[in-house]
Amino acid sequence: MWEDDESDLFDEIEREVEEIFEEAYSSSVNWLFDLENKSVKPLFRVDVGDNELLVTIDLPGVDKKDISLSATQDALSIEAKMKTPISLMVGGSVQELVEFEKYTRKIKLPVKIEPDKARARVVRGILAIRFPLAHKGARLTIE
Amino acid sequence: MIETKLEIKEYEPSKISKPNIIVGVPEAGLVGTISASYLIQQLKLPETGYIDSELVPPVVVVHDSKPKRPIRIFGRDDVVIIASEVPLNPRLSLEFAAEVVRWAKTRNSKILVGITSVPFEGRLESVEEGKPNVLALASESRIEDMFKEIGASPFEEGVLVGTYAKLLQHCIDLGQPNLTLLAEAYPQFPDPGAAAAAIEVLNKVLPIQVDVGNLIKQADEVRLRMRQLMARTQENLKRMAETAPSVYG
Repeated sequence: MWEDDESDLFDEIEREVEEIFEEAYSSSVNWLFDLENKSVKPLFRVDVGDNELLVTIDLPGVDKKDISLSATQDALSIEAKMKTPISLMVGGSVQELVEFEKYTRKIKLPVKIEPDKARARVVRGILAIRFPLAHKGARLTIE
Repeated sequence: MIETKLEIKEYEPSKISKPNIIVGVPEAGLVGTISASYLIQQLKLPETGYIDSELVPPVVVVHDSKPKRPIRIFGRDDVVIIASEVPLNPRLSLEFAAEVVRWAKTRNSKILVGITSVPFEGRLESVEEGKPNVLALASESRIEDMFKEIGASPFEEGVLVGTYAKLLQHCIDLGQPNLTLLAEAYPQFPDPGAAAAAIEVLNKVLPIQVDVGNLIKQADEVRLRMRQLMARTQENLKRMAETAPSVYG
């Protein structure tokens, strides 16, 4: 009985310590940077509405004319050149200074959309793209 | 449970009394962190202490080749800023809020101001139109009466989650005056525009006059440099939200 309690306590301590280290060192690097191509992967959010899907992408330091987008039914690719290259410290516990001059990202969409009917706008480096959903729900008959 | 004790450590016995305390920790849009670091830089506030706890992640932040603690205190005269460069996990957040308010009370703090954000779907439009709105919550009606004069709208309905919620609660419990400013922001992206709007309101609350021109000018760079912290903060906020009730109405 006593031993069980003790091992529970150690398990809990171990878990908490792991969480603390995980939090400090968890590598968001792959999610945020493509180091091979020296590009920044932009932050984004995807919202699915009743009739449309909205993708909002954070592109600081980019002009509208330097953004190129392509979409399929279930993915969106973006490439955008920065007005000025920027050097950023990259890494977890060991960091290095890397120069970036563009953004690239491929975003997998959670639902199918109509890629030809997108409406996009950019305001101060925030890009918002709206796609109509490909399949509006079909009515089902209950027999 | 690991027993922890969070401590506020000051380098010298504090000469500060009746301070106006500003708290900036990473939460949605990093509005608190961006505001706090800009204010520290513009007001050239010296570092006066730090916060220590077993729950603070094992991180040393390096500035100008000098190792620094991730949660530090800055101040001069009657302005004190407590700023964190790491997201506070839920347990650290609880201890941080309780101890900061206790400390504020022992220093006879005039007011404790929390700077944060409220997620705003129409942020793209507000970027186009100019300044985002700043909402406000206060611990007492005397401060609520100032909202109009300082250019903030009352936060009327909703749920406040996280460190700023606990700070406000403890302030109410201990009778410590609290003003929580919530700038409308993109929650998932670092939002220096929202931070600038919050600072402009703060200029009318506290005896400071900070020009936000440079923050607006450097906005693109700030947004890029804050991305890693934003990504970590998002993960942390998800964990906090799991403990929050859903929003009605």
